[in-house]
Amino acid sequence: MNSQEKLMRLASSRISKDDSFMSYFLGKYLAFERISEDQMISELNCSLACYYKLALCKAPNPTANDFIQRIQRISEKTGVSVFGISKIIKRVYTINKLSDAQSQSFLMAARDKKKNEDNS
Amino acid sequence: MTNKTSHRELELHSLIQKDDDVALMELFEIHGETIMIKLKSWYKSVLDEALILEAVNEAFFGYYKNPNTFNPKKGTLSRFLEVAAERDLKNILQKENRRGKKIDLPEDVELQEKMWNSILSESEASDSAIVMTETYSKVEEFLQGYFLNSVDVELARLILMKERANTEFVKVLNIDSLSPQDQTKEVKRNKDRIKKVISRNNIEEQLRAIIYE
Repeated sequence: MNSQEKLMRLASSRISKDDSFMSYFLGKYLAFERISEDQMISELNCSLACYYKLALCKAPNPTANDFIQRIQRISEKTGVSVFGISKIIKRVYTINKLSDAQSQSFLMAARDKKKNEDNS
Repeated sequence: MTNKTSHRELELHSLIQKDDDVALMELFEIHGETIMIKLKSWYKSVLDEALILEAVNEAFFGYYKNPNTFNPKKGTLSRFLEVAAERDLKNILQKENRRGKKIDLPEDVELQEKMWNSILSESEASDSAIVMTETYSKVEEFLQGYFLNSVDVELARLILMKERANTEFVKVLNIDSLSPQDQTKEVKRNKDRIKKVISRNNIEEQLRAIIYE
């Protein structure tokens, strides 16, 4: 790994908890899929430098009207395919939504249960 | 600010202000390596690359989060980032230095007035010649970490040696051709500038640690 890649990796880890960046989406995707960074790089068919470049980009919202245009621009700038970027964002977005919905329903169920107990 | 690089810099600055999707990536891609190379060449004594990476990272995110701290009318973005990265590296080095201090320094220890002279003269004869030479080069390296050119290092050395004679400073600054009044003015201006760096970075205190450790 050269100095530039090391620098971008460090920058990427700094924003890995910020869900507005691709770094967050890449990290989540790796965790969900239980794959390593190297496997991801080979799946995306890109270089290490391109992978970190992608991590430093903002992640467009997949429900936005300009999603495809934004992904296309990121793809041009990073050298990672539109399909690859889109797949990562959509998958993580969906799983996050599902887990949000799941925790909401757990909360509602817990609230209903408490109400029932209070009434009885 | 008329060359192509400047135009590119302005474009990048505008992308960052607009919070563009690829702005952060381009900032690192365009300026990352160049600034790292510069820092590495200015701070040859910093052997741990992680410290340089951290400093550049810190500086870039500082600018990325507050892009309005850069004023394109005052200079180039690359110079702005260089200065910021250098400042952050100095802060990191200071923290490292404080953390790594192995000895408690006596409160009343003062820098020897003719420290360099004594180091040099002793190094010629005494048994501790190697230690002295090592200390001398450590001090030189340390000063090079704070001052970008050999003139500034030499000026700092004179100030730390408590040198009072203007002639010494005139020699270093190579301003013999100026009138005595202008020489005095120029010496004062440079001394003030160097003293600010010395005081802002606690250089005197750090030097004590190097010399007496």
